[in-house]
Amino acid sequence: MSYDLLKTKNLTKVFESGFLRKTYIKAVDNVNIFLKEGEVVSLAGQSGSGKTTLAKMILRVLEPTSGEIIFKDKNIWRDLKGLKDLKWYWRNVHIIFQNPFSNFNPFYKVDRTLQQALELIGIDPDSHEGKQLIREALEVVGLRPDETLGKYPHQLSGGQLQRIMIARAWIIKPKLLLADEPVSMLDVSTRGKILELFLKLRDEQKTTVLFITHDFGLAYAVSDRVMIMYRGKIIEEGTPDEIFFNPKHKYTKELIESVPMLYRKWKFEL
Amino acid sequence: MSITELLYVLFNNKRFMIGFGIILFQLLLSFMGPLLYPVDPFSTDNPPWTPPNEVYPLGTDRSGRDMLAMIFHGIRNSLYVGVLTGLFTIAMGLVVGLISGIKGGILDEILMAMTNIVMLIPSVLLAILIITYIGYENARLELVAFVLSITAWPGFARAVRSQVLSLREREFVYLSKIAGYNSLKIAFQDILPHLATFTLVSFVNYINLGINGEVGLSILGLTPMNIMTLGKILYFAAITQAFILGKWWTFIPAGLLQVLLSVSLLLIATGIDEVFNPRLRGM
Repeated sequence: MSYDLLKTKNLTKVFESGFLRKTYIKAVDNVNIFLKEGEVVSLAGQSGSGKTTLAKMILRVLEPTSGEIIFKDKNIWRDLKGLKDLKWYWRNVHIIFQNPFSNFNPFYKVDRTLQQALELIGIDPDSHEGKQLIREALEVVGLRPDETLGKYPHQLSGGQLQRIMIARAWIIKPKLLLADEPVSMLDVSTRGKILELFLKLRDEQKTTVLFITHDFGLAYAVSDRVMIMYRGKIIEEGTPDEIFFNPKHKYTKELIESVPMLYRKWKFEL
Repeated sequence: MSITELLYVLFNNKRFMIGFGIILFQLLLSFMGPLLYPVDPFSTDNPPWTPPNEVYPLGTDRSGRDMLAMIFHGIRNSLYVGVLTGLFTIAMGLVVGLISGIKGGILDEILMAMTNIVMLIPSVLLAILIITYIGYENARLELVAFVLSITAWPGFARAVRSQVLSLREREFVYLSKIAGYNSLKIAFQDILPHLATFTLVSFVNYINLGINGEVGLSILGLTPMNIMTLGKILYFAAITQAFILGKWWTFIPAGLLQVLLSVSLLLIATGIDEVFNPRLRGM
């Protein structure tokens, strides 16, 4: 339980734009994080703070400018060669994106997303076993297979689509699941149920979840550890209680202040 | 939407229907005409400069060629050149645009540099050079279409590339990628379907470009002499001074059909665009 599943060393990503007069944007700036097996870690921060960039680099779809990402003693940008290694990595590290509607290609039925998962773990989607697994996964996330399979994305609701994404993660059973604001597009009543599914995944399969959010309230509710990201840097890290009751950085205080709560009127500073 | 639903919407679109009707009429002319009116368009056995009468429905030109037969064969060959130009252009543009957009990096730089260079070459000049080099006696309709598409593809390639650049950042593309799909599979399964309507509209527009380009090259006398096209009819009218002599039957019908063909293709293109682009619906 104690070894690090994934860690980053001085991870930096600089976006450059322009041709003659170049402008540089440091999206992720010298980030050192570690993730242990079976924990839910939240990465909170405002939009544009580099959360998604960090997730994409960990997912190995966006190349970092400098720094290393080590997963199970392998530097993922240097040691993984060929599609076989990459498939191994993506079997272990998977992602759920923010917008349930853009997770699905509108030209295909939602089944495709789950069939891709089966292909990734080497099961023929047309086999009896594969079909059985898809139905099972859908039942785990609380969907009725007969009502879900064979539908196009626009025929289902955001909550249903996001559940299908979790079913995909359930089929793949990754060691690390990156959840990039998985509930921010959903209504509040659906949120709780989706969050429960993440915790279930953690409890049943020992999946580490990196939960990316801009909502400190959510981060506080689900995670074992919280990291606060601000302008590309991790400015604070600790258990939710530590950070909630004893925030050190000015931005963290603002973030906590901005969580709407019952029985408290919002104070606006004009 | 299923295919039948799509077709239903498409055929309910007025512009598309009018354009489609005209094209269908011209296709019928070009395929049924030679069967019902089996006259050799190159035969010079008829009296010259005959105005339209019972024997020669559209008259004859200075060499005594039958105008109606010329038009029947002309439409068919003009459409052939057009469709071929469309196919060539779309094929080249899609390949370059897709590779450039998906692969990126140095390959993208090279391909885009090439595209920019080709874009700068004046199309008619290049066509004249190529055909003069090969010799117009050896030139065939396929070569005419090829020459026309050689300078037409860069615009389409750039448009495809920019769409691919935006599509490849979409989440479902990432999800296909992390499911272990290679670039080729992603290109065909995730990206190409999104380009389908744009490609279809462009295809129709490039058919148009091919037909008009062929007329342009024909009037310059750069297309094969032994194949009748609408452009060739206008060319014959021009070299026999029919415009000056007022022999209207040698160029008005062919010119009208050519304009009609162009208009109908434009109508089809805008019709398809209206149906598939929700922002244009109901306009």
